[in-house]
Amino acid sequence: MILRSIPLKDATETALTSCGEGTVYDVGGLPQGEGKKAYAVLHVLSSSTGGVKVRVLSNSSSGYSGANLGTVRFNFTCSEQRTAEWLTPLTTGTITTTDQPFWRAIHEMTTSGESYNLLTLVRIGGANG
Amino acid sequence: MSTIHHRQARIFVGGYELSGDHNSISVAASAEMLDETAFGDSTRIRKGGLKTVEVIGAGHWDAAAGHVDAVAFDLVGTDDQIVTVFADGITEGTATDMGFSMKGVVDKYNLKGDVGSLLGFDLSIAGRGIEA
Repeated sequence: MILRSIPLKDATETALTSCGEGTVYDVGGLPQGEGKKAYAVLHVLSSSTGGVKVRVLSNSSSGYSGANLGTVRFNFTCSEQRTAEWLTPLTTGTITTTDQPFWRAIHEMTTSGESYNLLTLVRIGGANG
Repeated sequence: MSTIHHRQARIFVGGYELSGDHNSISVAASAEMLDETAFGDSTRIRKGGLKTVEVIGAGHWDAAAGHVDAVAFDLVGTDDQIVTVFADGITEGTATDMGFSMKGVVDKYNLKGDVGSLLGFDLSIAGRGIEA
């Protein structure tokens, strides 16, 4: 099985050095139907003394604000070392009509001043194979 | 028609980027062909079967920390390695130049070289075929 994955946050070359919210992208809503799922994948390529926590959110429009960060759809484990994680996909049973097409990744660090290289990916719609 | 000067592939295995060790990469998606030919048919009749995927790479051997030998040797036979390949660089948010991500098992890691040549390697990762 292979996914055509869309990069939501590319910090592979320029490390993240503070907590933040990634750019909002319209990568599509979660479709209904057999075999239609949403996937999230994370590669953490460098580590620091603490940990980094990545979440993937969706919303109804690109108008995210400080009070509207979107709804958390994927919640990665706090990473304290180089690792990769492939979360359980959202299936038609968990996909609701309120799931929306605008997606972003946000990241938090356990200690300020840390530095992490990472790559956050999503696939909305299904896999091949 | 748009063509690509192929020099910006990105290759990630678990928590490591191995792009700089590679000079060749392929992502092979295929399906088993089932033969449903019967007596009386004049052509071979085929039907699509189970799908498979494999990532095959090659490049220059490097034993330093974080490079191919230090990463791949210990992964041979280990299930659920998360692999992502981008054919032509990474562009956030794009749906037209997407990557290929899969869970795989490293089935081959070969050191290879002839006298006078750069020492090289071959790496093959077979898709696990599972989604979670």
